[in-house]
Amino acid sequence: MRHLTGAVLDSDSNAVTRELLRLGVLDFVSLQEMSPDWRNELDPVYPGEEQRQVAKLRERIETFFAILDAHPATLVDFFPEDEGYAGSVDEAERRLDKVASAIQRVREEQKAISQELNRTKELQRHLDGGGDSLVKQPHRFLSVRYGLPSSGREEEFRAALGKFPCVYLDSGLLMTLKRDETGIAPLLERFGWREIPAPVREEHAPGLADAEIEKKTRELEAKNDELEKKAREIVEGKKDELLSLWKGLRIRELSETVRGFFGKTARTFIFAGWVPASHEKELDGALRRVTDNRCHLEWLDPFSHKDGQLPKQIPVIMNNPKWLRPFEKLVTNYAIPAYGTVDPTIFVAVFYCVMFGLMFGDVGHGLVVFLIGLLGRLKAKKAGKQEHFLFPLFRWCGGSAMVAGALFGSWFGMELFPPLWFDYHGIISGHSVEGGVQSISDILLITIYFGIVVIGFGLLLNFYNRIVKHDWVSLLFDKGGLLGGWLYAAGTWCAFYFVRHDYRQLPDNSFLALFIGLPALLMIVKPVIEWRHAHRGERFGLMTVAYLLMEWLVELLEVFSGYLSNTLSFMRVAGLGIAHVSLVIAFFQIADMAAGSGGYTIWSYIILLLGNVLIIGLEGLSAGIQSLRLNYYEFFSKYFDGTGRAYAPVSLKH
Amino acid sequence: MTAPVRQYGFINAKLRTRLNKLFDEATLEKLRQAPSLAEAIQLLKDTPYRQEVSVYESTGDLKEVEAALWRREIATVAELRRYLQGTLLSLLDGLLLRYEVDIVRNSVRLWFDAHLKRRSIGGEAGYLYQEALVNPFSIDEVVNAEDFDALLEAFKLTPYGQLLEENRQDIESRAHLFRFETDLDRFFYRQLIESVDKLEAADKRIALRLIAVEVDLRNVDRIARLAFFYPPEKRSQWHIIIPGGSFSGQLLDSAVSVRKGEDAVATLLNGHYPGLDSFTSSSSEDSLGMVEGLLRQIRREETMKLLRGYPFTVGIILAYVFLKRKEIGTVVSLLNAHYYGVSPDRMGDGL
Repeated sequence: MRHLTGAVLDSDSNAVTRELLRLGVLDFVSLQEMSPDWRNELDPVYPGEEQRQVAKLRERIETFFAILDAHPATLVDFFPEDEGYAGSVDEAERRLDKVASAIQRVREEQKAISQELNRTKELQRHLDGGGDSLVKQPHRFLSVRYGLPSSGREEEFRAALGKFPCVYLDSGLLMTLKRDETGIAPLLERFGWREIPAPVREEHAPGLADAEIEKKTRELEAKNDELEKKAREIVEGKKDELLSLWKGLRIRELSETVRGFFGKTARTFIFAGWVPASHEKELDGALRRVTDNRCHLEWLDPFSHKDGQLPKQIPVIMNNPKWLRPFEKLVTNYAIPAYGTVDPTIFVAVFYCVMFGLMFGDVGHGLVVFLIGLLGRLKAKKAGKQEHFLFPLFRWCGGSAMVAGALFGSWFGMELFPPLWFDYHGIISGHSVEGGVQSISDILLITIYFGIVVIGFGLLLNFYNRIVKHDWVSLLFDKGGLLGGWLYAAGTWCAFYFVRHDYRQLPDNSFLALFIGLPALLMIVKPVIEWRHAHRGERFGLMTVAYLLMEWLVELLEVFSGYLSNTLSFMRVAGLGIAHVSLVIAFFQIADMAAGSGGYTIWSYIILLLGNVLIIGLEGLSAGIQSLRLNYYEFFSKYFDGTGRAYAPVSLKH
Repeated sequence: MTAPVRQYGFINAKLRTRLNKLFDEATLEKLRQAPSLAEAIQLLKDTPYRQEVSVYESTGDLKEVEAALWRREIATVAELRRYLQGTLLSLLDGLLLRYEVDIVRNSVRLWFDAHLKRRSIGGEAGYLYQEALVNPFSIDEVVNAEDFDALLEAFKLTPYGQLLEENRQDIESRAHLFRFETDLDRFFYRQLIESVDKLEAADKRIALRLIAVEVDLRNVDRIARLAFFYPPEKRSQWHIIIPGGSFSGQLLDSAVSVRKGEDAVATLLNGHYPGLDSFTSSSSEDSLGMVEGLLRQIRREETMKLLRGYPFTVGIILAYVFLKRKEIGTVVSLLNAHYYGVSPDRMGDGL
């Protein structure tokens, strides 16, 4: 990253704004935050009311596109030569109002249909309730009559009936609700209603009314579908115009955002921000070109800072290849690593997959997880969407479980092929097993070795981070520094020595004094240096000595108990692996119990199927979570400085 | 594990999660500031109400959206039944009665419009929640009742028939439903307090405190509104006071009988919350808005106090039901305000 502070003339500010937006590589820094002295020197250029109005108009267009289940950003490309919307906000608002009212008119038509449907449904309800008994024993809520309005007034009559729930057939059947009698009676009088004799087969009336209601309902629903389509067509019809307006408004809005970071003097504008080193020349050249070199640009390499300390809040770009993105997501879900420190994504990828495989080692189960990941990918591809980051993670984890399954000889819990490493199932079920790994203790030991490797690697990364940050005190005297590493290595050696000697003998005293006592004693240096730094010129008093001793003791306790528990924590990898195998064995035993004398029955197969589904769901989830937990709390805690912030330039793409 | 933890542990965890999802002020403000109904609907599509508001695009009918929102709320409260037992179940029935009372009120209003006011109510009954909640009655029977006796018949298996009978003269001769509607509210709170009486002492204390706040809100709101529009002699004829609040009966009576609206508000608030006279010293219209704002704040503080306190009590259930109801009510009001083109400032007053 490079830090840029630029000063340009007032007359060039528009061109500079456009260029900054076009390149979209500057992650702006608030000038006031950068240097509090500037607070008095510079006037801010706050985004005005107009910018808020522009944002509102842009959002309005987005709501129109929501009718099409689309977002303008996915339908339009930005080009460097595009200009922001130059018209007035009022004019844009008028254009959008026209579209909004056209849609609103459609909604009103839909509302009328909805209300009519409601009326029709009510009649249907009463008709259903009355059923076939309508004629012999008329439904108490319905009124049925036969007649015709004055000749030539049929259409008008039908329209006047509209506000009442009713059925009126050409044959003269008029079915209304009794509660509307007081409204219907004057209507009949007004239209010269003449009663006509009921047809001979009057009992057909309910069926006719029912058929009419169904027909009407279908027509209304079809009409409503048409209207929904019409609302979409309105937006479709205006699509190009709206997209162009949206693009213009968005560019204008972003330009205002850029200007919001400017500080103003009488005739100049000042701005500052971070740019990836690879874009330094490009941005420098572009700004000089558009200002005819009438600008002052000051570039700073953060590592060349005068006191050797990195400035705060340098944005971070995590440049991992695409195949590592799901693991990068796991890292950023925890925090963004501080600028200059190690991006642990690749290590997380390796450790996560190894842990998952050790906990969930089975070729068949791994294959299912892998296929779920593949299915997610195909589904997303079919829908034209980007797949969720969990699906590639599924594929990685599934692959890792398959490799581990081959090493342990486990294929859906069966030993179809001999294990390449050791027989996990044989060990758990107590069969005699050959090779270097023969018991559960051996499995636990493997995971402890694995834990030591992970923690040791974490410490190495911490050494690197401390060197990069020039944090020499922590590098030397911190519990995660060289002294801490020394203690961890010596402690681990002592622990293995103790175990090798049947838990009866520790290494000799000179070893303990040199490798445990000395670094433990030296750890007091850190609190002393920190105290001196915070209390320059002060002398040590009795209380200070007591305080420093207390801090040293607490630190030592943390080192011994912390490292021990962190290492033993990796035994959960074996624990989960053992649970996985045990569950498989248990389901096979249940299937055996359900088997008849002639071998497996259908129940045995159902038990195995459901058992495997349960194992994949339950154990897969456990293994995934525990791997994450070990990465976050045992690995990250050794070196990870998550105080970084993600690089977020103002650009057309963001 | 103690009994309250066993009883409330699960439901509290569930409801606290849901309470966290209630709209904050910023979301309501955003909704208020939406330039149009379509935009307001769009904003709600990113909330748990997505399904309900989508009804607007397929029907264009805001009443359908409103009905869907209330249906969802009733379903949410009814769903709590699954996690409760014993006296808490009867409390939940007491809370469900709130919705039933509203449905009774709305269906009787429709009947009143159709039969006494001689207006066509079209398919309005279709918007009402049709399924039985606590007492069995049919909305179709109510809105289609041919006369008052048929209306009573429609409610024969419920306590509402008795309430209607008591208000028969008002409804038939004076053609107004005001007293009946007030009686419905009184009935609801009486029933709710009765169901609270069966709870354990600690739960009972908390529940009564929350209910008292709700009743106070309704009483002050009613007295304040009526006092601004009707003379005292008219007000005193109506049973506008709901029992169960924390205001004394004497104070409520005196507020009902004072002449001017602002005096009624001042009497109530200063008599109960001394030191709040600044709320009632401004012009009459402002003071009504301020009173409403104050009452909202009292409700919020009572609820917050409860949420900060000992967690294993009935309070969380009541707080959730009251706040959720308020939220849906606010969403419905804002959508309607957008439909009628009310300005955001005026919406703010009415929130």
